[in-house]
Amino acid sequence: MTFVHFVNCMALAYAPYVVTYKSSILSEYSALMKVLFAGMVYMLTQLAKMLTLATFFPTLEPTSSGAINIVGEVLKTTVDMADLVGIYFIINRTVGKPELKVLIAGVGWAGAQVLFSNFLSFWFGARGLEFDWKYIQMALDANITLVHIIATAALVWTWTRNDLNRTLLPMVTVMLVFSVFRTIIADIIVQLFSLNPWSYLLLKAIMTFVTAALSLQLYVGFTDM
Amino acid sequence: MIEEAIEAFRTSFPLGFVAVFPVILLVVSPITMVDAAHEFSVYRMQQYDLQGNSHGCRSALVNAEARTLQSTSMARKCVLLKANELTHARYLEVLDRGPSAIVVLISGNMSKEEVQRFMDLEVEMLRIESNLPIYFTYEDEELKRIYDQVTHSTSSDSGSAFQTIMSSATSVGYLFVTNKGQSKAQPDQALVNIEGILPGLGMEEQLPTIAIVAHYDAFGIAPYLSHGANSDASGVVTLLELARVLGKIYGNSRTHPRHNILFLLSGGGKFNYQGSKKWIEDASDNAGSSEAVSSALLNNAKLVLCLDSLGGNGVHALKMHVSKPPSETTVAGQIHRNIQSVAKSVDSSLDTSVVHKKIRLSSDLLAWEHERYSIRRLHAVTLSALSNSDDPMRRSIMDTKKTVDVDALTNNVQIIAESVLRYLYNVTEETDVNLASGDYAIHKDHIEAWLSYLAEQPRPAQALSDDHHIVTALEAALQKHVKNTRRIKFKADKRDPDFVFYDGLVQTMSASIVRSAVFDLYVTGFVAAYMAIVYLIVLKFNGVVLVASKLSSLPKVKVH
Repeated sequence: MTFVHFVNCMALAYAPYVVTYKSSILSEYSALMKVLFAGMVYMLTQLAKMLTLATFFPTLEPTSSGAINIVGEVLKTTVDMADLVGIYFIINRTVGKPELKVLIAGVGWAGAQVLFSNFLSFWFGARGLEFDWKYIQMALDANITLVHIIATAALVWTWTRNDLNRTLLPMVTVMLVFSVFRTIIADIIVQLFSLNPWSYLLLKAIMTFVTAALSLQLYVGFTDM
Repeated sequence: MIEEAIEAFRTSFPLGFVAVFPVILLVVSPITMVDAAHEFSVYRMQQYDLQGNSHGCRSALVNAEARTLQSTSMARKCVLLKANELTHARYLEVLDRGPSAIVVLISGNMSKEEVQRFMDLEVEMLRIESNLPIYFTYEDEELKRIYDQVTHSTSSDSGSAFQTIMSSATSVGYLFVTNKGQSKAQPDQALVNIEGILPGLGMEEQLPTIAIVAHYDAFGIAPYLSHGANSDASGVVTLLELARVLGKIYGNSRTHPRHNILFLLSGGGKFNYQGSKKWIEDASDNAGSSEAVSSALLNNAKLVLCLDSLGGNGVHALKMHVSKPPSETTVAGQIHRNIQSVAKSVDSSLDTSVVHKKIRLSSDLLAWEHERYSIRRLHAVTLSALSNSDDPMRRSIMDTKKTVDVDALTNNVQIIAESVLRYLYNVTEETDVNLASGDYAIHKDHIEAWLSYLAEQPRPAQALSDDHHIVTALEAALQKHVKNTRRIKFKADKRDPDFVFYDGLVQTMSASIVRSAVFDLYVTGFVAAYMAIVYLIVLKFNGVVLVASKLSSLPKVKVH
């Protein structure tokens, strides 16, 4: 499409990040360096994950029918647990209010993720001749990712609390695991019901907002806002 | 609130960078990648210069949105046309409406009348010199779908202004783009002649000589769609079959005739018989030289027998085309008499008349290959099943293997071989004895195999270079039966070229889905609205948190 289309996609994908940064306490504390640090941690975590995948997991041949190899994919996704460790590391290393910790981890991590996974696609795809809704969808997905990572960071923060009610620990743990397996669960559902990309996006959004609402509840229970 | 947002941007980014960044992006950006919905091969219309006159379409670049015949406007667009609906009048009408390119879709199942109409159209299209890029392609399912969609989305009657705006925002267009640049002249393009000889018994220079000639290239409106089964794969096949039979006869000392026979598979036949022209020039150049160059024998040839279009479907004839009526005593006269007498015994209904046509020197194109030789005062005739040199079949992409009746072709080859043999052994009386039989019989399976091989791939003169597999295969086939076979490569004169070919005749065209600029504006509006909502939510997040804490059903999160 046109350059305007590229700009549209970029704006759609990255504006919420800028808005979040600007209008939250992140800008009040000028936490830009810390956000960038979180991005660095993201990169290192991904590197470690890739090395692990390349070393210990065999290449999964795509089946002829195009169906995903569920067991193999789930096993591969377990490596994504490292993401939680990375987020935990960021939260541990930052000093400040809980919401500052969560926002630094969330915005830094999600920002880096979206930058590395989407920017090149936009650059080569959205400016190409061919029009495809794919890039608008990717941009919207980037927004969902932001909410998802902030929610995950909030859960990780909750999990680290010593004063967490012991009866809630299993629930937090389950939600953390769910947040890791979110994408693969959505993929399997899409496969089963053969949904179109828009439904896939909607499904992801619903899953993310349910997780986010629950983690917000937990988080609000801790703070006296 | 908006001021705040602007302020936020202003304080975080250096504004100058914001202004420069898009420019940097545009400058460093690579060539637009084409990741298209559909890619297909397209074959461009002929483009060549012949004797200084240019023919065909002069352009190769296509980058335009698709339209069809039904569309309301096609100015500066790429018009898709279906070959079976296309008529001369429609074609002129389309040209009048100022498109920037034309793509003709050829469907596999055209009726007989449609094929005939298309062949006539080919002639007319070549006659009109056009600056438009004109392409031809085979219609497939995807193209059919694109055609229908384009027709649907561009032919709607303009309703109210609102509807027009809406449709301009929601409509899906297809952008057609070719993958190569503008066509360029190929001055170094070579044509190839393949010649061979069967020397007669005795002193070669003192024996009478007959030359058998057929051109092996094909011609049609689009070079790379020209299969030329009848014209002139059938002539080539006939020549090869004659070479095989005569080769056997010349190989045996007891049957060795006292005639030289020259064979020529000429290149560039469709471009005013350039191969023959070159051959004649070489022969006269070599006339004085002492070395026994086989083509020098051509100067004293008793007859040049050209073969062209010998197996048309439904045509039941074997005609002798001449520029001057042959007298009874010439070789041409004798061979014609033989043809008549053989035809009488094989198939009495066969039309074996002589067609006399004077050479029109004012015309750009020579009608038959023998005229090249007749101009040089050599005795020459063309044998053909066609009665008219202007038959559109001879220069059409519709001349495929389907159009050739192999039985009729075999019959004609049989008659020609028999007539030539009777001439060589001087059998003058009416007889039922068949010389071309037994060991020397014509084989239908040979004819069919060669015809399939030649007709199954396009054979434009532009493609048949020195190392093309058809050229090497033909040379190898001729080599098996005759002596001194060699390829003669020749190019057009540098300063005053007789013929110039152009490249870019086969291209990959991509059809990409595109949206109008208005659509981009709509998306921009949508994105702006979305951003405003996000901004509001983030700004009023405390309210959201308040609602959450009120709703909170997990009162004992914290252990006190």
